[in-house]
Amino acid sequence: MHGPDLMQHEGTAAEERTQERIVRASPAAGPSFDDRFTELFEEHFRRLHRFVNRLSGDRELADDLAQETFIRLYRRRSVPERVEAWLITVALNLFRNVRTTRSRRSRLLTVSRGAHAHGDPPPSPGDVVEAGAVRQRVRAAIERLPERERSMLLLHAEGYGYRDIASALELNDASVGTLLARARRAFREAFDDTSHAS
Amino acid sequence: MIHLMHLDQERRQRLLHGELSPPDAEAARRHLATCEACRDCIEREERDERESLELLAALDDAPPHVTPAQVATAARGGASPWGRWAAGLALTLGVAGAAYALPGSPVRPWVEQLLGPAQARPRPEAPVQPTSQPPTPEVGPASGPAGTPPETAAAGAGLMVEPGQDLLILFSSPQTGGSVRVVLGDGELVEAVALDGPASFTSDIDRLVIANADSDGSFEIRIPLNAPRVEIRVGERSVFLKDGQRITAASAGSAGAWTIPLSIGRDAR
Repeated sequence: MHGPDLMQHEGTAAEERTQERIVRASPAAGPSFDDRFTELFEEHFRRLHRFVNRLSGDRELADDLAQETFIRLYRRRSVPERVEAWLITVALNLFRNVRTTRSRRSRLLTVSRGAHAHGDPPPSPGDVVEAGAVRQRVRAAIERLPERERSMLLLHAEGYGYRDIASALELNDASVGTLLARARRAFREAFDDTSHAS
Repeated sequence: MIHLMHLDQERRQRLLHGELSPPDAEAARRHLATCEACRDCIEREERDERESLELLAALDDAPPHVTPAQVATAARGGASPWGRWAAGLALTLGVAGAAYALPGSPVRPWVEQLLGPAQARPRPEAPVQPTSQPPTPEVGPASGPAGTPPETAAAGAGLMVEPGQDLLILFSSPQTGGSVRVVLGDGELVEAVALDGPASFTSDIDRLVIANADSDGSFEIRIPLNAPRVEIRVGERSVFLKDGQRITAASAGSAGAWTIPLSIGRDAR
């Protein structure tokens, strides 16, 4: 024997886990991965996109990152045990990596342009100006928050639970509520500051 | 009445967001029923949160029109899974051909062994797919997972997974013949391909399982250079370990590649 003979005592346990997982992976044991992927996509894509869009302020980047996150989920060919925590952790890591380089690859995307294209009465010019001003102020207020507070606030706004937020942001689960309240307070103070500045 | 314990901010937030256990939530609600100060705090925090959510909605843009099928296609790296598998087969056949041509290559006797029985076992010109699959990849239900690697497949089929921090690649059984060629290279994903012979591929958290009980075929596994830890086992026998930059293998390697017989461990069973 001229190679590794490693962890022999774990061999039997590994074999048992293998059999269990092969059975679990077989079609007869439940929905296929592709079915499950479709369910997860329909449940989580829009909220993940919304989170990244709010975080980045860059819609095309949000389009790319949200899609890339799900591409990685598909390539994984298995559903993570805590899928929400996995999705936001991957999305955050991608955002941090891409943020400075800003490399964007082409995807098969068609972007819906304007909710007003389908018969809704168009907003008045005044409404558009007002909405734009509020958006700018909110964007400025969010940008003033440290990244952790910003991410926490936006993740919770999407309905992610404390445990998943703590996992994604590497926080103590026991203090998420307090940190969240502080982040919200900081956001409101920053927003109010922008009104004084303008 | 003396309030022995007001609700601190953490508990107020957890109560608001449904993060308290049922007993703790019940205790908190009982306290709120008798403590106006805490009720005022909770109402104020609830209002602040509502207003913040309304403001954040001003940042929203319409999401892209993208379907699960499009994401699945992008994940497989091309417009058509057929083309990708054909390209993968061509690549692996090219690698195998080069290995066959090398002087002293162990591939030659294996190919000669295969050519005999292979006359009775037709080798597909292109990747074999269930005939019920439509040409356009669609992720979803219906008979036959269109566009996805079949669970039981002939040559050219395989699986790609992320290496994570610690990946186990497990061949379920030692074989009578065949080998696995392990190659370190660039890229981000671990890729396992059956060069010939039937095998099925499944993946789970931290492992990729190759069910090869009825096979004497050969495989190729590509491992990213920067994968932290990847181990390959044949049955109970560990035959390859990449732990950081350190490689331990059951066969000698050359130029970042190792060819390991899959009959290892068979006699020990």
